[in-house]
Amino acid sequence: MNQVDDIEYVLRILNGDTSAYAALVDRHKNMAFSLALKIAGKPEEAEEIAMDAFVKAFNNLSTFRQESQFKTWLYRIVYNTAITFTRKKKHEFLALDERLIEQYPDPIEAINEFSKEDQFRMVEKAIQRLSSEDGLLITLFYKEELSVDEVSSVTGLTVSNVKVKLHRIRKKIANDVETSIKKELKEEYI
Amino acid sequence: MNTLDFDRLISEVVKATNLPVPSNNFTAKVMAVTSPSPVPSSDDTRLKNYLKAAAALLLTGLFFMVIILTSDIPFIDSLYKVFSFAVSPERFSFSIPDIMNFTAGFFENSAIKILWAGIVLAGICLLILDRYINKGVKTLQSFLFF
Repeated sequence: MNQVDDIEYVLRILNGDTSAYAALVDRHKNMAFSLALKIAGKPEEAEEIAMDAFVKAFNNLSTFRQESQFKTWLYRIVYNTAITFTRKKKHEFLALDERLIEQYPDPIEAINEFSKEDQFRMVEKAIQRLSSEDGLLITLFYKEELSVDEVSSVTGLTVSNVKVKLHRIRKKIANDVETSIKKELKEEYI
Repeated sequence: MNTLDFDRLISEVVKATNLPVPSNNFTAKVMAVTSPSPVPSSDDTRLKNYLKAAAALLLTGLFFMVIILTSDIPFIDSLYKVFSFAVSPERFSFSIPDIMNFTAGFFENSAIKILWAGIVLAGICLLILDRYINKGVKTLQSFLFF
């Protein structure tokens, strides 16, 4: 639904109705800002990066090929602008070998003993403890519901690397939650 | 809880988390910068990109010509000889066999061979670098060679 709307707005802008761009900015500004913040770390810088990215996207709108979603194209611009702005190395994400996927046990039987709210709280805390790069990946994948291919296109990682990284992030969260459970059970026992 | 349920739980938590928001007038600020300028049409952009790339190639070529012809390189004399041979009125010809003879003679000189090998190698390296940097971006090079 969003996809169709985005493209309609793009067509309107390309036909001269530049005011339609406000709707696109409104729709995607939070995610653009969030991505920029994860890379830059400072809200003031993130806002500058997001603004710069939106201006670049507007100026290059005619080069947007409608084969991908507008948001994927936009996030790629945000990502590149943020990387350039912070002068970080483009591929800060380390490349990983898909064969290195470690099997981890079906996570955490003990979590079933907790209420839904407690499960939420524990997973939320584990997510907050992730690095900004990991946070960026899960935001794109779970919050924006981008496919692995699209995440790969935004970040410049290979598809298999995105898969490995998502697997590792899930594992990190599972380990963190397991530690929290052990801690809580210990406290309960004492 | 199995892997799938755990994945679903992560998804629910991430979706329920609010994203940080930019300042209230963010959209207005973006529109203030973008509104005065209409979006350039794709034809304009493509033509502009090609002209830019062509100008860059021309300038690079001129730069190397000036460097090579004004340097005190041992084989520069033979280079001059070849050029004067090429442009002398009695040799000047548009016939294909003459052009082929000239080209073959040009490559027979060992000093010039090294120069050409260097130029071709540098060109290939630049093209590979360009393809790596501008993945998916249409440039003059990608238009001409790929």
